[in-house]
Amino acid sequence: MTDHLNKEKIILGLTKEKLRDYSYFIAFFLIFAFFIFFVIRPNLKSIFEANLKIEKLKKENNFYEYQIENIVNIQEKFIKFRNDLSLIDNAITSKPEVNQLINDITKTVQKNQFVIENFSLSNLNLKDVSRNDALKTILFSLDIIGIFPDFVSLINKVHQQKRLKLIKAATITKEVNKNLIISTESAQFSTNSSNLKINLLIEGYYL
Amino acid sequence: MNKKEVFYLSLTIFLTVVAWVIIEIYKIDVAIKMEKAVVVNNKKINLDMSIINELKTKKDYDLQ
Repeated sequence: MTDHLNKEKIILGLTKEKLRDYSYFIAFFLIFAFFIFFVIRPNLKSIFEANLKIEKLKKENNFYEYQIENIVNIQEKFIKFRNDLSLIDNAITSKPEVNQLINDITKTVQKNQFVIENFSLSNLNLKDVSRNDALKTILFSLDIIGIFPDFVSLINKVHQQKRLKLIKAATITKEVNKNLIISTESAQFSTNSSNLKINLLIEGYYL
Repeated sequence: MNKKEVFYLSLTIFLTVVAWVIIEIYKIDVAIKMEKAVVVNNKKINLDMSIINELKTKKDYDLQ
């Protein structure tokens, strides 16, 4: 009898509206949480991740397009100037070739009526065989004696040579001959052709 | 555990899952925005070949 009453109580209790609501919500939350976690989340995640990948790929595509364009441009220029590329090798040699530089400088100086007083070179390390593509320099220091027009001609000649050289500095001082007594008349003539002592710093380059 | 407790527990689980998903999606969305904001520095390489024309005018010492 009591069992029967209990059963009825339980059935009555379950059919109460309050309890039915709770059961419904519990079921809803649990099922929906499961659904969100195992169905909606992976789909949403894959959509957003796909968008992220699309953005990254767009950028990479843009970058590679630019690089290809650059390569094509460079190749085009190389083809156009293929025959003249040796000029660059001549201008900046892959080896120091100091003898060529010395030869160029001394002969040009002598050809322009200059007397070489002192000639030295520095900044040259023949032991350095590192193959980095940085530009290496050799510095020549020259003390020469001559006149100004010849000096201008010397600068032009050095500038026109195939092997690149840079006149880094030039210090010009007037050579004074103390033993010579110059009359006022001869002094007027001597201004144009008086000897100058010139210190030149010339830089040569190699790779 | 009565029904009310089970209800709160299920609600907590549900909200946690929703918050988790929102945070995850937000993180990816921020990453997309960051990706869009970063500008790729595409450097256009332009070889100035005028040096060739300059070098053509130069001569060997012997020919000067």
